[in-house]
Amino acid sequence: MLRNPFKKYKGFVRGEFLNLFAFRTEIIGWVAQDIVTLLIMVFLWLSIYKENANNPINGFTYPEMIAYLVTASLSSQWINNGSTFRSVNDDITEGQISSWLIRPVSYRGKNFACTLGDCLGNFVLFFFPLATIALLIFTFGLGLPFPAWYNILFYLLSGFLAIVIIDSLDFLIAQLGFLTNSLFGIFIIKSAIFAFLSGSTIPYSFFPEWAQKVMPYLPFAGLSSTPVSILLGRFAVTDSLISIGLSSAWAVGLYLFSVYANHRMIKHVVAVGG
Amino acid sequence: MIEVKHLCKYFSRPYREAGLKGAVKSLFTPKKVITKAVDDISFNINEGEIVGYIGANGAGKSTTIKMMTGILTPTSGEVLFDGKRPYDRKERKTILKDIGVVFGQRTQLWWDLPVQDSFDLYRDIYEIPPAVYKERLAFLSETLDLKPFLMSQVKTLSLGQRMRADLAGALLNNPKVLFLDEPTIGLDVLIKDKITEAIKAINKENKTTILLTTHDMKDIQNLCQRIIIIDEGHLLYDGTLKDIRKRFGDIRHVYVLSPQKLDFDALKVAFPSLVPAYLDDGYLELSYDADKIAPKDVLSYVLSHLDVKDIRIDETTLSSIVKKIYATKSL
Amino acid sequence: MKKYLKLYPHYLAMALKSKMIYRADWAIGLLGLVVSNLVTFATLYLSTLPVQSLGGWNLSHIMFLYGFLLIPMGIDHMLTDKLWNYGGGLINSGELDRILMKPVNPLFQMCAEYFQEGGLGEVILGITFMAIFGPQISLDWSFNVVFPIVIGAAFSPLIYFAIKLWTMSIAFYNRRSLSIMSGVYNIKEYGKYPASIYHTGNWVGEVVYNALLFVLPFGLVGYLPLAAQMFPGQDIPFLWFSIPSNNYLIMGVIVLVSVSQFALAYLFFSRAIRHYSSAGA
Repeated sequence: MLRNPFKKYKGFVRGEFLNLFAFRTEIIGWVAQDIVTLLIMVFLWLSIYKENANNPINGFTYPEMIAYLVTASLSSQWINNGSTFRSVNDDITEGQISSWLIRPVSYRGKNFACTLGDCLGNFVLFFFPLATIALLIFTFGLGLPFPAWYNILFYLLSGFLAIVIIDSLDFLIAQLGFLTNSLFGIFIIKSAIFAFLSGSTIPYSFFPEWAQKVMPYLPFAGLSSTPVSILLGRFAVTDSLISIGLSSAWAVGLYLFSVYANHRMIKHVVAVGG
Repeated sequence: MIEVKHLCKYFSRPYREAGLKGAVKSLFTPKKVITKAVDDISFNINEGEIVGYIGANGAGKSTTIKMMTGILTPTSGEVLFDGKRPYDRKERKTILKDIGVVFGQRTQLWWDLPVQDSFDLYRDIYEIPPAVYKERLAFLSETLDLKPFLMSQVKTLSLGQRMRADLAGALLNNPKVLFLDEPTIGLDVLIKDKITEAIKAINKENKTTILLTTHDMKDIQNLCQRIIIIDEGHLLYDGTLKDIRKRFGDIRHVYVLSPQKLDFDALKVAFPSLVPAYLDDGYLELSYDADKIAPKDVLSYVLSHLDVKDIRIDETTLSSIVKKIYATKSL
Repeated sequence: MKKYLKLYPHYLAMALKSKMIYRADWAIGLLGLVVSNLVTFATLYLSTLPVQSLGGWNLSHIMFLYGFLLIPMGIDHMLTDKLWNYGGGLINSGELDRILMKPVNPLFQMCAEYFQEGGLGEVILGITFMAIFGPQISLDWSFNVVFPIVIGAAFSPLIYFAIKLWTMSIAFYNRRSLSIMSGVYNIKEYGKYPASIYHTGNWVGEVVYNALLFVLPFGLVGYLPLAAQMFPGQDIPFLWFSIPSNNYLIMGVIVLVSVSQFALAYLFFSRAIRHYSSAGA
């Protein structure tokens, strides 16, 4: 009984997954981009640490910093790559929402399923091979400890929660598409702010004191800082559990809120006419 | 004068099998498939002609038009506009000034701005002198009845209005050749008439050569003196409407509704070349060659042998002729 | 040529008019890039804060460089942004056919039809940063310093334009080149840091350094002229020789590189369009 409701969403998951194979150059492009970004990041921090006579800064040694940023970047590959924002935006601008209402799937559910498909695809296609390579480099090249098995599990769980959070936030923000045509501008604002506040461009320990106190309680922490810190063993087990708990709370809350928003939106669409 | 000589266009496309296995396979070893969109087509068009270009979807119409407007370069063969090739980088500059194109399915006007604004931009793009522009605009405005919506945003226009606006835009620079790609698609009957009348008027006034691709046979009958039929990249027919009827004979169809059944054997004796058939809706269809049999003979026979409740006489429609041409793939 | 000078204002007016219809969108577009740049700025600031200096440049210098860089970047952004749409798949939609059918240079049409207000936001932000951090650094404001820097800055948008152009042109061969476009363009982010940080003694660093100055000359735009200013008298290493920190010479280098990069990119673009003509959409 529990299986059947999800079966119809499986098709969407699969479809998005297959879509990713469609463009070869796309894949090469993204990979090359990541490598270059990585290289330059390495140099930037090398330079910064040189200024500090290679001492740890704000709780990170140079290898740890690189590991953090790389992991954050790789993680966002599969966590932050849902299609919901773009998809909802497209549907709104093209007036397609009403056509989805006829189908026997929940609009919110369908978007979430597509996101899962994207993320899964990215996980298998990008994250897994790259992470494996990265892991080898970190463990043997930089001498960092291999993540504990429970941390890996927590990481995956935390990542999944992050997907839920992002997907819900994306869905909510995409609603702005009813008010404005410039979703691209909103996308840029949203991406920049999320990236920064989630600790993926720079760890929280670099933030001003007052900010550091607040960040763990915001949903953004769960998007990058929490899963990455867990994987790298920077949290004790109790801290990990607390952070995951916070993430879960946000995930559930935001998802429910987005379902509610979906309901309201559908009402609006039905009244106004797509 | 447009010359199309042995024009060929072949496309090579990657070929991907369905499903997950196919997707992965194509990632590493892509296969290619060659499609012959246009295969050895030749024809000439003279100044002032209105030519209908007919073909099924995918027959190669758009591809030919694209080569004629220089968007696509031919795989082999050539297209010449008064001796110049539209797809040649240097030669096309002058040709482009004398071409107008209307795409039925897409607009070339700026979506968010009033129609007039797009026209003003065209004036600058084609370097039309202001006096000429004014006169031209007045003429087109009159012919196509543009005044009601000239200042409206393109996105607010109905399909009919948008099509007229696009047509006007394409004619602002008084092109020597006008390409119309499905210009009346989706339009209601009244607007279609308006547009075809306008096209006729423009052709008469300016001797504009017009190449019209369409699926609408009525348009062809209204506008074109000559039609070219292509199918699967090959030229099937090139000639006037009159000729095509002559080739297929001047067939008439009489449709008769009667509670009685006609004796076909007796009919055969009276009119050996007449073809009778009962249709699904109960009508008796009698097809005969108008050159061989006089209508009054057929009618008097029918009326004397049957209690006729309803009767109708049609000539063969162009579309059925074309259908037959497709079916036999030859003439 | 004269025709284009007359045409461009007309296109610009129409692009602006189109935008003005959606006033909220205009504001959001502007805001979007401002926010995105602020975030990058914040990241850079917070990273450098603990150590106060980088590659010989102190924090104020770095922030000033950042502001200075935003201006040519913003200018390019304002004028050529539609190219992203083309790289992202617009090429196949028939838009290109419409453009090719007009007796106006296709690249001109592709850029002139659209005005990105976000670029304006970047320019303003850049000026703001320069105003904030300028007084904190000791810069020689004499004519012989400012003039070549300004000329160099005037030509440097061509570098961004060139890179956008050739990465977009790849889409003519591959349908979409968005990933390559954004990938290469992202490297510009690292032109925001003084390139001297790559002098770490190993060969990879040297390659990166030179790449940033020569191949994808993002480093040329901001780093070079300002480096000459910050450290007058010191030669700037470049490939296997060094550039004496003469302002006019550096201006010459920037002009030369930007014009040649653009010329090469345009050649590639022309070829790519020709390929489109033969291969179809």
